[in-house]
Amino acid sequence: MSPRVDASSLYGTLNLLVLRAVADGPLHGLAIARRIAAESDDVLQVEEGALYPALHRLEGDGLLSAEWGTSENNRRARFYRLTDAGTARLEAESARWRAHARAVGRLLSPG
Amino acid sequence: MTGPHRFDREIDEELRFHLEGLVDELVADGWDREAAQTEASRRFGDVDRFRAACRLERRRTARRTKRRGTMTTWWVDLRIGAKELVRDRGLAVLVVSVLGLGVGFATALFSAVDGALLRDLPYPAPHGLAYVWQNDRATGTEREPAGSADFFDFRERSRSFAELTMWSFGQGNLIREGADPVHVRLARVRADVDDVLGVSPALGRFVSMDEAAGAGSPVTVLTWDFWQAAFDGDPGVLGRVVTLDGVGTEIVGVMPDGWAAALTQPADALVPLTVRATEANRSPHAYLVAGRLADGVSLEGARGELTDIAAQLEAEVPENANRGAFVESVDEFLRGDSRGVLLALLGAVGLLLLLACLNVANLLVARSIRRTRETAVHTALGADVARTARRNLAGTGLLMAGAAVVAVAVASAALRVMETLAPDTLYVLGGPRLNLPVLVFALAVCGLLALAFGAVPTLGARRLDVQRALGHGADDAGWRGVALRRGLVVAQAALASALLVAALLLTSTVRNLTGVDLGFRTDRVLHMTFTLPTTRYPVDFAVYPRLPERLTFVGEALRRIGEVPGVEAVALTTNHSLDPGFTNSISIEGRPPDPQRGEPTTRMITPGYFEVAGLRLLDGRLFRDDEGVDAPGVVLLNRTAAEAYFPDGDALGARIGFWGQGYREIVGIVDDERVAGAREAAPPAFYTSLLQTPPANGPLRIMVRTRGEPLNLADAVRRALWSVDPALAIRDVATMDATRAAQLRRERFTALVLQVFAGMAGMLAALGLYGVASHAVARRARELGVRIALGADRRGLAWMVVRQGLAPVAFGLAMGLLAARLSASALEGLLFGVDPGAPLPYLGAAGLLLAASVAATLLPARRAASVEPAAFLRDE
Repeated sequence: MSPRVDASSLYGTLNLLVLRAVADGPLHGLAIARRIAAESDDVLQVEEGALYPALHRLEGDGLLSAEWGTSENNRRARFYRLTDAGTARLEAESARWRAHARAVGRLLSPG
Repeated sequence: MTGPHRFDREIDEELRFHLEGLVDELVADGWDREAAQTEASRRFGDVDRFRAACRLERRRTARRTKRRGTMTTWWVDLRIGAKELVRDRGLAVLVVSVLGLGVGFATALFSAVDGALLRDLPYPAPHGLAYVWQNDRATGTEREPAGSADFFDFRERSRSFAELTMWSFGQGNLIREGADPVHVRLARVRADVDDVLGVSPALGRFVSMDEAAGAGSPVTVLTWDFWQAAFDGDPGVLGRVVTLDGVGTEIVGVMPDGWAAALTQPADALVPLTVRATEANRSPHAYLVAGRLADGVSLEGARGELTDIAAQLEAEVPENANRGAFVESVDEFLRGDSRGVLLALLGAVGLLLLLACLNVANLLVARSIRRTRETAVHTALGADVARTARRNLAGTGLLMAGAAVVAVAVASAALRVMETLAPDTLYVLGGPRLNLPVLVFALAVCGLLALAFGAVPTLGARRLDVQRALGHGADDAGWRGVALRRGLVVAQAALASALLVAALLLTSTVRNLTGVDLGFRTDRVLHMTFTLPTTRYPVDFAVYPRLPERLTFVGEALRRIGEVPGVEAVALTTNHSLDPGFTNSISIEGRPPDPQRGEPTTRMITPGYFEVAGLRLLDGRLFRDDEGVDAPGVVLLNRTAAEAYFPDGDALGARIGFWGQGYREIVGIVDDERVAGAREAAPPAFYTSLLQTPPANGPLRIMVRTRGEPLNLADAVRRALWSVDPALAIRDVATMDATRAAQLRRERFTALVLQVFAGMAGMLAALGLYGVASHAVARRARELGVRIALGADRRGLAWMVVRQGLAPVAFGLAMGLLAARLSASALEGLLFGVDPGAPLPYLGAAGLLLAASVAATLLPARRAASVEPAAFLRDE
């Protein structure tokens, strides 16, 4: 089993993952959770419910917009999409994270 | 459905969708439904907690949206602007105080200029009013009043004036029922003074023709200030009878505020001047002649005509030999004295305001450079450029509003200080008032600044290459700002050094004037003034000097005041030591009259004067207390008079005559007294004893040398005088030290203003330099870090920062000193004992500015020296 990182200890990680998840198109909460799980190789484990306060905060901050639609199994679901500001934030945050990750990587790599 | 309930239902539905989807997935994976539900709950976590958290987020968003919706855009911008100011507190405080001080001082000075130079005289068609002065080519006296007979000749012969009138001045004791006697300055006026000036009384009427012709009962008209001071502005004074020099006099009118300015001397009450053409004389020269020019006659035209008339009179009247006449506009005369000082100060304050503006520009430009990156990001993220501009404007507008408030406070305070310190000549026309146009002027200045500076960050943002700003950091993008700031430092150093030179020149002047040996002592001397009314102390020149009432008064007053505890010595004089008084022609026994000799100043004193004033006897002896009218007449000369009239040193024992009295023997020679003030050399003077030549007219002074603080004895001395005559009005109670200081008011005031200005300018220059140096250190932090990492000497780096900071200062300093040298001649009239070309003030200014500049660069220099190399490697 791969080591697990507690996502709550890295401020903004969840936000970043959410933004990344909806970057390719609108998704509802459940799909976002699946996407995060898949893309992070299940490394980042969070209680799935924690996703929703984050979604509503990002919506309130204007980084996401939401509307009700129909899910693949024909049920009413709330779909989230990136706003322009969300796109810009995602790019800026990604760059920051990559730099940070490189630093940490260099720090930990042997030699 | 609206409101929170809708949010709650939506949140519930969303969470339920997730939970049910989770269960479906698990069931699809082969879980049985019950176990799947338990597992889904575990994976999902505490539903209630997340629901509450979601509600909180929704409610926060709703509140924010609602607020945004109800606030108008400008209000939002204003709030954001205010928040930015709070974030930049230091900058806001600096801008508000620097601009507030600059605009405040400018407003005060502009108020003074407005009050003294721009405001119209309070007379209709004031430019038609002119004085007719006489001058005496023999003595070099200019602007002398005329003899009454001259007036009647002018009036008869001149066609240039539609009307011509005259007045003279006097002193009086006024007694109101139930109040202390009060001294009044009288103007004796012809009835047509009113017609010439063209202003009707505020209350009652002016002196009538009949009264001016000597008919009717005695009347007086009060001037506004005296009416306010002595009668509390009571309209009931009309018809009241007061005792003026022992004569019941009816108050018939009050003149409006400011009316008395044209009289040229302060006056409390006006009384009829009853001189008729048939009883007029060529002397004394006591009558001020003024008139209103006839239509179409210019000042030059009138001047030419009066010069001709004076020439005719010179030919016809022997007494008028060497007497010319010239016409001067009332307006010019009244404003003339203050013009030089005011314009010099206005120049200084203009420089200061310019300096304050440059500093604010500097600070705001600095902020805009810091903001460049921020603005670029905003713009890149799609922020509305107009909106960014509005926000900048709002912030700057708030700064200017704050500055305007400070400016009004500073201006009012400065005007109050001016009132106590500024020369009286500023107040001829009523003095400066913080009036509306001036306030508008200040606000307009602030507003224009707001517009100009508010635009800078926005324009910078528009010019800016966003990629560059984001890629390389703010400072490369704002390099233009750096050059601008360095230019500002040069300009400020130049202005500050020019002001410093002027301040140092004036400071030396005040010190030199204060240090001049006047020939007498001013410390611990109290003086006060009163006038003996001729009604109770008659003057009959037929029996002069035997005026028993006056001689008795002099003896009694000296005795009673001498008995006051704390009084070391007492004297009665016609003029205190710093009052040049009047001159008289003298004849020297055994010599022909010499009209070229000039007139010595007449000093009438009692023997105690030498002790009171500490006047030194050089040769012979002083007056004796027992030398009265029956003793042989004696007189003293000062050194200048002795040397001028007796160059062979044979003054002692010689006899001189004056006033048509017999010859008096010169029994002593005393040191020179600079009676005309520290600037003027002592004039030739002769001294007589009031015990031999009793006072005949004009005011008398008591001078007392005291053991302690002179003003503490003022009451006791006054009471002693009232014990001789309870109806005397005593005025002008002061110490000689204060009188001397008052004579230096103009120089002290100018020096103080220049010191304040120069101090501020120096501080502003240092502030600007500090900004540039800190900026430079911050900009080069990476380079400095690398240098230190490579082993550079930290002290060397600090010194480099100081050196580079001082370069623009030195350049500005050179320009400022040059400008000061070129313009120092403008100050020449104010200077005393200082050569505007001497190197010391320039070296002093350079030293002060350089010291301030080094201090300003020290902090950035230390910062440069303490750069941690690692910090900057991390910073990229």
